[in-house]
Amino acid sequence: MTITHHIHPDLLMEYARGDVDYATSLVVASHVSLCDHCRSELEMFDILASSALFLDSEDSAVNSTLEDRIFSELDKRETQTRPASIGPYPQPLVEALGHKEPQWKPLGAGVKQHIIAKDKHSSVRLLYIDGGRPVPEHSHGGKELTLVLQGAFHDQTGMFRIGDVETADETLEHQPIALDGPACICLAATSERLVFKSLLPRLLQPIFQI
Amino acid sequence: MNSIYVSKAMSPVFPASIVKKQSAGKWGYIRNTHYALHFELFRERSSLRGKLTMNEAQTSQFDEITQLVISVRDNRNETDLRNLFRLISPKLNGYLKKRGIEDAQRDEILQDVFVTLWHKANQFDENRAPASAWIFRITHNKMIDHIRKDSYAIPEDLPILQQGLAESPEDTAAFHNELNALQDAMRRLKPDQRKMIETAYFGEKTHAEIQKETGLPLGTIKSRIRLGLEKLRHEMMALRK
Repeated sequence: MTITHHIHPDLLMEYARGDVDYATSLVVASHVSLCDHCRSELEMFDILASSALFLDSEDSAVNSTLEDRIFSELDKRETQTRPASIGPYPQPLVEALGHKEPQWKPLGAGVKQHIIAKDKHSSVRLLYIDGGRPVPEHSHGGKELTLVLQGAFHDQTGMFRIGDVETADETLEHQPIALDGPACICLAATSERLVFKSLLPRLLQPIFQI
Repeated sequence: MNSIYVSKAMSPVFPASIVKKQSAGKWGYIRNTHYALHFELFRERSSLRGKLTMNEAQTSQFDEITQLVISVRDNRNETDLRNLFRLISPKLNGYLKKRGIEDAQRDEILQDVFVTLWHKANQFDENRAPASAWIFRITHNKMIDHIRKDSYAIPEDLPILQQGLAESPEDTAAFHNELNALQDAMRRLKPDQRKMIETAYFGEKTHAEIQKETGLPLGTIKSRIRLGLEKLRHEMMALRK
């Protein structure tokens, strides 16, 4: 699998900081699950950030009883085992689906959807588009991220295959169409908050070469 | 030769002994050869996982935190985890405090972190990153968990060590060389220059403050980091293949 459309590095860094909404985090985490390039990028942030942290950060003595509390419960407390990926759905998406198959709701014109989460400012859903059919518009203004999980779609900007992410906003006039053949499944997030605050990452550009 | 790699300093990460012999000239050659040998041994070891552990000479090329995590993973000895706790918990606590996390919550987060380190140590792969970066990510994720009301998706876990092994020892050696070069460059930055990286990452300051800070002349150090990162990404990608 060759992924050619990645998560924008600005967004990747916001995600690493923990600053994006849930809908966006799900698309980013799902893409990174499939994409070595973006995973490497994330790990490089961690290597740099932890280096800076361990070299410069001030120590703060922990509560004297903490060590004993931790070690007395070490084996009593279990960490959750994460579910395996299922078919086209990577681990974070399986978790988001509550370990169940999507409950597809037909929208007509060969399209079905399963809404995973939705609030006033953002939404994230799975879309199932029959081969050759247009991908419905799923945002009204704001930004949208669309990750291909199965099949492929294309529009004026290019071809999007498994693992590719299309980042679009209201300025992009496009009509994605699923490729002929097997159905295309996408994870699509819309977010009002998904605005690239370009200053911080721009400053890092010379360092991260992004 | 081993003395080059033995960590004497108590420095929490990247002791000078690990970074001082960079890939220049003869040392670089010796170093690469050493790595190649080491990872042959390492590959052999990993196929017998749980039965064999690395001896001192094999692990001593890693920084102290990484050595402790390897030992927690391979020996399942609580004492190692206690030593790790004593070594890094003040640092992690300081970080959480700086992020404005209250006392009681910091305790909960640290407890979560160390329980996770204990139970998920088998996911740590010293061929991918120093343990400090791995622990930092766990801590950061636990913190996000605690401070956010909604959930936050995290990427799929990497396959555990056996499947994750590099195809070639050369790739791994090259990766470690790049990692060391990068960390060396980081060490040579002035604290306020490193602060810039930290700040951009942690997003603690106003834009104006950062803009002011970035007026610093980073010069050759910056280009070294840039080169290091470029190569590092390349090596990391090679390791995933």
